[in-house]
Amino acid sequence: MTSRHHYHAKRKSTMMSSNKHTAKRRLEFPLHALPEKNKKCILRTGTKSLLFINQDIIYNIVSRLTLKDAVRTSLVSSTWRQLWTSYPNLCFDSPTMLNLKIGSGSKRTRHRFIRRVNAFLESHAGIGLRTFQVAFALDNKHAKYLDRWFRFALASKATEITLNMLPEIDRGSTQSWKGAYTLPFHMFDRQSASRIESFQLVFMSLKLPHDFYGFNSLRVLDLQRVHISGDLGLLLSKCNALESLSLYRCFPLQNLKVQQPLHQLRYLSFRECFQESLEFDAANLAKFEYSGRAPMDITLGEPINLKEATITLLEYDDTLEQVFTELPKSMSSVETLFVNTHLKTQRVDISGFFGLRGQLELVWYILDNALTLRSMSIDPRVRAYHRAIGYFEGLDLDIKNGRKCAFKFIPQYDYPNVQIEIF
Amino acid sequence: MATGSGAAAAAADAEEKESGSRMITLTSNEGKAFVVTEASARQSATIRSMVDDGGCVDKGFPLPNVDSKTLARVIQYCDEHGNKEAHTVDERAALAKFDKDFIAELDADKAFLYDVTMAANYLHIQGLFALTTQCIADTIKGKTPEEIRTAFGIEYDLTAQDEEEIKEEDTHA
Repeated sequence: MTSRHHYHAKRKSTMMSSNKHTAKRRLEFPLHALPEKNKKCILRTGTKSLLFINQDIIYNIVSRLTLKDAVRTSLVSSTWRQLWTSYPNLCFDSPTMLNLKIGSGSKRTRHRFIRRVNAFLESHAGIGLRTFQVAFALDNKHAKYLDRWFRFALASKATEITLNMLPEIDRGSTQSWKGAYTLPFHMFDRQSASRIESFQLVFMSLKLPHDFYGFNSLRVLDLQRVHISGDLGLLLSKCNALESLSLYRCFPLQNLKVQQPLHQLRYLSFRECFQESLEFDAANLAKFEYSGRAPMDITLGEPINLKEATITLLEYDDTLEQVFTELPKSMSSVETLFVNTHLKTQRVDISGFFGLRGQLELVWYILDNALTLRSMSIDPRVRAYHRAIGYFEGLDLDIKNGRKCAFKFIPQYDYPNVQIEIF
Repeated sequence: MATGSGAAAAAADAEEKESGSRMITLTSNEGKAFVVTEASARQSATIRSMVDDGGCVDKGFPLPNVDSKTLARVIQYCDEHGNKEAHTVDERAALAKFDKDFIAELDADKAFLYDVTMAANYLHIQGLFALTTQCIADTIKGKTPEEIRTAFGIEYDLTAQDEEEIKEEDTHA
């Protein structure tokens, strides 16, 4: 309350001083000479010059602000009052809506967040939206609101939609999809589906219908921790403009097969989705990332421009038995990948190299067959997945062994054309 | 650049013969003529469409909403972006540096910045418009409504009813 009083007092004083300026200004530049729509947007810069900027320009300027700054401009004057209501980039998260770094912790803050987003959307004109983003841990209990927001995003013609329901705390722990929000996919009609260009979903459930129109303009699809039921392959085969596809911890995706060629696809990333086979026809693929269990069947068509492939194998056991049963399978998968891509890869990064026989043979295989290979890095540490695996007894020893093995069996002088780095 | 439309036309003819590329005359609201290459003039979507529609290229284009000082500065931008190539990394970096210096200079003189913004809007010069509006937006960032009013010299004219509504929104946002 006190700050508000203070604010009003300050406001009054500026009103008085600005009146003085106005009187002076009117003498210099008759307001009635200006077009009606420009009247209230007078910009004065010192005493030197007067300037009026039209509404379109001010709108453009406001759209370049953050949501918070944009809303603040509604207090500037009556003309600026409504400007933010056509603000095109809506991003609702804890810092913006609650001034909190983490806001989804308690029921009270969750409800405050919902209330504020609702109030926002009620005031917003609901036209010409570009981005619509919600990053806040809500679940199926809040489906009523989330559905309404999603409908708003589609009706406002948003082209980039992000819905991130992942809890801000305990992000590393394994989540269960039980109770996760189910995206109302049926809300897409032909127009809204063909308008969307970028779609990112994090931690929710997705039920794909059989008779979907397809996303004609979709360039970027990013699904993280999404439980997918229905045929994702069928959906992807109707996304012929797709340039970037990224799936992280999506489930269940045993066999993903995309029947139609995706000519625009440049970037493909599958991380920890644990599927058994993957079949794409992506002739222009430039970058491929895969991490998961070793044995799997990957077909990518014949991507002649594939320059970068990062393959991380997780969840293998270093007991002998396991290595020998897994080895033939993993070799065959690698063969599929590389043979199909004509081994045009220039760089290979291997992490978690403990010096297992399978790993060593994989490295030899790549070095012998990848004729365009220019550099390879071998790192005994488990790089990105350290947290997932955690520390276990003997890890240091594994790293030491891996390094020793790499230096001994992968000598640089055997492969003069490839720069080998061992960490 | 030449002064006087006669001299400008003559200069344009001479240059056209020399370089083989068309020259276009733009006239400010003070009647001052500026002769630019077609490539430079095509930075403006407004002029581009007039040229493509077979408009009065020979007579030149009068710009009643732009004064000489502003037009000279706008042309400086168009020359840089229209006449120079931006294919290599170095060329693009040079252009980015030009933009940075260009806007830094304008930012020091706000009134002139707004004039250039309006001219860029009027002439539909996309790159220049984005550059100037972003610069103005950067000025607003983090400012209170009052500071914005001061910076832009805007009169406070919200009614009591507006204030009530804003108070309402304030508790939500």
